[in-house]
Amino acid sequence: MQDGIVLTKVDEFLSWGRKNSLWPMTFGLACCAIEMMATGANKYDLERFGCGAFMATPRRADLMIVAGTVTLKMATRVRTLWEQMAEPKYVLSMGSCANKGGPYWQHGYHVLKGVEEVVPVDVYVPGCPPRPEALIEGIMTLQKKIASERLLRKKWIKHVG
Amino acid sequence: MLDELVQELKSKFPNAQVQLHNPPEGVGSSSIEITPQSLREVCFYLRDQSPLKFQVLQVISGIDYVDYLEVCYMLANFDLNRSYEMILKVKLSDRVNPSLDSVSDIWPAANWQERECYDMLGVVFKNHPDFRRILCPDDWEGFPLRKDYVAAKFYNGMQVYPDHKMNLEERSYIIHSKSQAEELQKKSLAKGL
Amino acid sequence: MIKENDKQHEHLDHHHDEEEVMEDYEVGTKPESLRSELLTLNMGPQHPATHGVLRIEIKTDSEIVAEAIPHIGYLHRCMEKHSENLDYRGIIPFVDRMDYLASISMEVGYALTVEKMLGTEVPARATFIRTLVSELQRIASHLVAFGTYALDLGAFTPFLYAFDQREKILRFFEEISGARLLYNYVWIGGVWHDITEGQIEFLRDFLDEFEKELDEYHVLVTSNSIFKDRTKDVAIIDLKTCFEYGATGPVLRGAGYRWDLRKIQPYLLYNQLEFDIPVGGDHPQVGGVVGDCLSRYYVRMCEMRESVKIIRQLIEKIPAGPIMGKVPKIIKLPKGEIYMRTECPRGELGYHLVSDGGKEPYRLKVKSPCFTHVSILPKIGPGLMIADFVAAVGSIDIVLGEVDR
Repeated sequence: MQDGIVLTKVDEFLSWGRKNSLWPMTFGLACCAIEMMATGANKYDLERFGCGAFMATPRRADLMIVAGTVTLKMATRVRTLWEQMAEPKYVLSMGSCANKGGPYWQHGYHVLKGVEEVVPVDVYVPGCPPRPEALIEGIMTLQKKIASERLLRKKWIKHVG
Repeated sequence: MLDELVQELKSKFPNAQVQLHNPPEGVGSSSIEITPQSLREVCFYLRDQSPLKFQVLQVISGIDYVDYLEVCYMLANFDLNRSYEMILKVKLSDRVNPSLDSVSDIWPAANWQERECYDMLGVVFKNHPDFRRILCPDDWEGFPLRKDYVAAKFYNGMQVYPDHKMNLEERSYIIHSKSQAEELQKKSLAKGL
Repeated sequence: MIKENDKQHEHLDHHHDEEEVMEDYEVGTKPESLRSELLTLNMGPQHPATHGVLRIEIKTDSEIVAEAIPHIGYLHRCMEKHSENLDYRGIIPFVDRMDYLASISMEVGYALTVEKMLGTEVPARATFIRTLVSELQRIASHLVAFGTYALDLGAFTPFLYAFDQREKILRFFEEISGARLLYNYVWIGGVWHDITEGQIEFLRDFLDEFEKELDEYHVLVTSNSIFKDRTKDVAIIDLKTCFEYGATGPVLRGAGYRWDLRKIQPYLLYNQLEFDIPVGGDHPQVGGVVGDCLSRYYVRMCEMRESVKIIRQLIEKIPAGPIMGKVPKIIKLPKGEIYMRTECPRGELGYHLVSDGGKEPYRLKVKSPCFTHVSILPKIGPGLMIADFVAAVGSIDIVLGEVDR
């Protein structure tokens, strides 16, 4: 099938549906988890973006917010949980510990320098911990990324292997 | 108060070589040092029969002085009228296979504290009910808080210190391969440390 | 036909006489021919009761827990190794991140330890501000404990109420220190920024509103019969267990022992302030046995009220003056060691600092209260149902950053 106006519009419609109902998985590891909980509470409401349903199980979630330091002992579990999520799935790395190791990069013999060593990351949110507004901006950036995906126009395979 | 305690212990346990260490420059806490062999009998005495009953073991902290290892027991007395805490020290001169008796039947709080001391410094506690590492994974090599600890670059296929994220030339505490770690260990064993 | 079926599937039958089994079978007894074994469940590192990454291996016999083995270390961030390589001022952000819900208490304990060795004099205004923010932090931490405990047991509204009030406290902290969660505010020798008259007015209004909210929380949660049924007489930690395992804080006070380091070994300004120490058993109308989950929860609620009292007394008599004492540019502590403990919202926090005269500590060991509390779980776990076990873990109020350091 070639590109055309019909497929573009259908693509946009499907992406609109998917980006406005991202269901995050509760993967709070450390201090950033508290800021994630505060973002979901009533002052900085995450429900209005459609992301209010925090699923505890990875089978039903499509966004994994890695909030906190990933240690070597935990890294295998992060990978297992990510593999249990169903496609299409996205990973948002929250906080400087999940981005590149955070304040523990120098002498942290047990700290993984960034969660990107084990799972592929879509959006990075810097901060230690990032403010709730920063996390909301990260989710909006992810929504922009999802809006530009070509579902029907090009056969998509993400995250092979 | 600590002087009276030291006198009592000296009279009751002459083999324990009880010594009082006052802080060398005047500020800080004093501590009592005993030999490793007399640890259990002194602890039983301190918990049950001493006039200041030390009911609670707060923390066991291990320190690596390069010539010897030191294990400190912080004991506390939880009477409402007078509260008291003291530091009990034991010196272990054998760095290759340090071992000590476990006090986890005297104070059950010692169970997890001793596991952490083993995990961080390598002190083996005899007759411990559940002896394994607590903070680091079970297949971790080395004891992190020793002064000659060199971290490994790889663990189970994951890069702990990736080249593009670190300035490796300045990092003398990171090794690049397992064989280099074995060489370093042989060197420190040969020195008798 | 039936006989043929019996022969085919004979190996699947339980070889017993059905009538006998129905007569003899009581709850808790099993006939010898039934094979039974314990089921190992994993309350794994990722679970929705957001206490962090704690893994508890539960061996259950039907619904009742037979053995509970906690595994920790999933958040071991090597803080003690970092503290051997950083100078004394640079350790304060790392100390913050241990118990991230009560950062000020961690910083105050560390600053007091270093200042005792150094011998600096902290100005009066700085001590007032330190006491004020410690008590505010205690309220904020107990609010999170309250909100997440109710969330564990299935109620969503108290979580939102608690976080709403907590946002106001965080707004105050943000104005004085710049950060919402990990402040880096209490420095060696004093505090970093001053507080203004406008912020004190804000505190006065907040305290008036908060006391009314506390009464609402009691109506919403404490007098709720479902909450009471789930927490009364569950996971009793008696005084003997507390001493054996070294439990402190609300766990020890919930067992009926009036022990609080703010009264027994006062530090900062606590010897000049009037406040009570609530213990379990003070209010028998709440119900339950002394030492159960309900008494620990009620101790935390009463402590919030006492903290409000303390802050009110402090606001009236804040003196003017500098906020930072005289501290040398490069801090070098004299040789020796020191062990000092302070009272955190979760228990007693101790720092064992060994110095060899240099710019960095030789060893910094942290006695964390949550580490000892998690080690009590194998003792209180057996005999509880799985839902009660969740209530027990929530009532101890653990934060994994402190357990694993």
